[in-house]
Amino acid sequence: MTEVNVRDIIERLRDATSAAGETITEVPPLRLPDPRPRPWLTPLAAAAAVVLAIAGGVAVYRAGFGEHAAPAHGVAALPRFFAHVAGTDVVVRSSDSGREVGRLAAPSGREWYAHVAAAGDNRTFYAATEARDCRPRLYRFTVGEGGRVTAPQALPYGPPPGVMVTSLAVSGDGSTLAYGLQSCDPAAAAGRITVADTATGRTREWRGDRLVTGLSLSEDGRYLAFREAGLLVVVKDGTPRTVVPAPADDPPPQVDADPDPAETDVTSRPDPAAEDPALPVDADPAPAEAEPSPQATPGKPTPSASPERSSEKSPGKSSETSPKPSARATASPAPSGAPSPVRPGETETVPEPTPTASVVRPEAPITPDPTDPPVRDSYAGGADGLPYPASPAPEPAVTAVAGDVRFVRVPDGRARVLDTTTEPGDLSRSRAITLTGSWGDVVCGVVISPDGRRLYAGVGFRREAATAGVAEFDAATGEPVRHLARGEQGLLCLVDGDGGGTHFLVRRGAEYGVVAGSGGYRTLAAVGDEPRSAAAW
Amino acid sequence: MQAEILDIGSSRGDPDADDAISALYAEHALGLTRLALIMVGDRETAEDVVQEAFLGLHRRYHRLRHPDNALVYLRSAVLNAARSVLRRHRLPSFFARAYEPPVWSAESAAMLGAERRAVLEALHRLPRRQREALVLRYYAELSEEETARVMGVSRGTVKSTTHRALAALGRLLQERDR
Repeated sequence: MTEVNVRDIIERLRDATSAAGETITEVPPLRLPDPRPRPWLTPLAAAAAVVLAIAGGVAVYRAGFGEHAAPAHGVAALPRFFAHVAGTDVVVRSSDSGREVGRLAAPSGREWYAHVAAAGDNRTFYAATEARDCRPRLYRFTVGEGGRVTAPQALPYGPPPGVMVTSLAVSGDGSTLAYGLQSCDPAAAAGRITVADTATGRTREWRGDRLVTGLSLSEDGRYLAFREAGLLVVVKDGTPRTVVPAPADDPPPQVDADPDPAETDVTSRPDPAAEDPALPVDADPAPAEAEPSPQATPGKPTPSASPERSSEKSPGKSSETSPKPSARATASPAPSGAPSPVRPGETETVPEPTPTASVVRPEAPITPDPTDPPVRDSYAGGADGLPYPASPAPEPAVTAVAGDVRFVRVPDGRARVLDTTTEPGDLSRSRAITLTGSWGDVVCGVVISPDGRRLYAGVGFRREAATAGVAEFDAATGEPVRHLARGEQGLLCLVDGDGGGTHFLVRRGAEYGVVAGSGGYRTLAAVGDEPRSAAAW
Repeated sequence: MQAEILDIGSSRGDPDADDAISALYAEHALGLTRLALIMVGDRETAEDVVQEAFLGLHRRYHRLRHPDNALVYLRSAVLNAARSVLRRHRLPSFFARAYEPPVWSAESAAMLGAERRAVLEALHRLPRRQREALVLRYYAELSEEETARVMGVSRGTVKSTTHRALAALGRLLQERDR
């Protein structure tokens, strides 16, 4: 093109665009939102004054340390809807009746929903998918006053091909979206977090050497809480064998996860008594775990590492519906494979790996099949191979299945908090907060408060279901502040907050429920099967 | 929020922020709506896009490190929303299809004439980034530096993208003129 041509083209372009632009000579007035704080912006301080209406009273739960929570009456508005992933779909339910009011079917047979997040208005929701070709996408949908769910719109930004979304969160004000990613190579143990501005689509990324999961954003999106997880490779073959934690990362483990072995069959964890360093618990540390450990009795749990799963979602399931057996885990740093998710109903095409002593590497991509039975069916005890006395066991998230090998993501007992206004880059610059300790050795689900100063977590002792509950921690020091609810019916897995610190969506056994900031638990909906932590309101 | 990023205070319930945003709207809404119109093709959608951009700014106004960033933010938000809209309508956009978008088709056809419509149509056949670069540089008259900030890319990328875009646009128009 000659210079003249270029000038001519620019001239024609200016002329045409200006003429088009000038067809508009005035604009409508700006409509800013009502300055009054929306209900969900209720400051934390006010939370204590709020009481939850509990229909039949749930005396089982106590607020605080032992005081009986008076079942309350009336009041505090619950978020009207909550959404959760069910199979390949997203289901929207009324918080009042627990009834399904809307449903988003999987985008296609090759792509299905795996995560869902809600903004503080309880009307704007985001969802992330998993796809057979490993090209996950992000969607936004809204829920109208009457519960009408709009068609999801694919966002113009999102994860690059070749990764799986491990967790999704949106800030209360809807300005910021954050998602955890891991390679579709099921054996890759590194993780990254992308923080996106929902208006501009501009993204920033932080990377770390461990898997990430359980993301939760503060009201303005500045603070991001997340959890790191170890990668566990479990080989099913009757005899559980070795568990190896993922690459060693962090220093020693924090406690958390270690449960006591005692009870159950033991897996072999090294001595129980001790803190088990050997436990694979979080993947942390040391490879210590390389030791094998566990074994499980059949049918029971197996190995694994750590603890609880967090809130993640995991759809995990294994693919096989088959027997559930025991498994053996290897540790692995294994190899890689490519992932591909397995979808419901479909047969697996994945090649079966042969378990070798310590490393198993699937050759094809795999991803969990959302329609498979929940993980805990296969691993009765939870990730660490220890059975949970109370039904609700936090399960690890199976991220890939190939034949008899499962790749399981197991969060540890800590939470990390990242200030997203800092330079993107290294996740290790975030602050780690240990949540296990005097209030529990299992953590299931962590949510950050709207102001970023508190963390809420489902905590409990694996052997003493009676002490399971939702606790509040100081996000800076990790000091436990108070118990919002404690009960004897099993571990409560914290799924989401309401943006005001007044109502928490939890998962317990086969149901979703709500815990009020003032204490007390109420069932929202029994959804059969194991509900996932991939839910939001 | 810490003081260091609170140059202009929190927006929620903050009259100053509301005033500042209202002032920005008064000054830039028309220009942004025109920009949006060129990107999406119809007035109604353009107005929605701009309204959304301002609401987004309102939500995060307190996070702007400097008020000057507001306009960059608004332009980025408009482009991003336009992308979503176009994707929803399946590219190519209205322009490429018939250049008769739902709302202003009739008048526009008469007001713009065949030559201008051809240019707009060709513009909308370009890859998204090329189209954005051209519109920001030659319609909005932004410098390479400003365009780079709005698009979130480097200045070098703006330069090369613009160059390729002009060449591509030239080829498209030449085909038509022939």
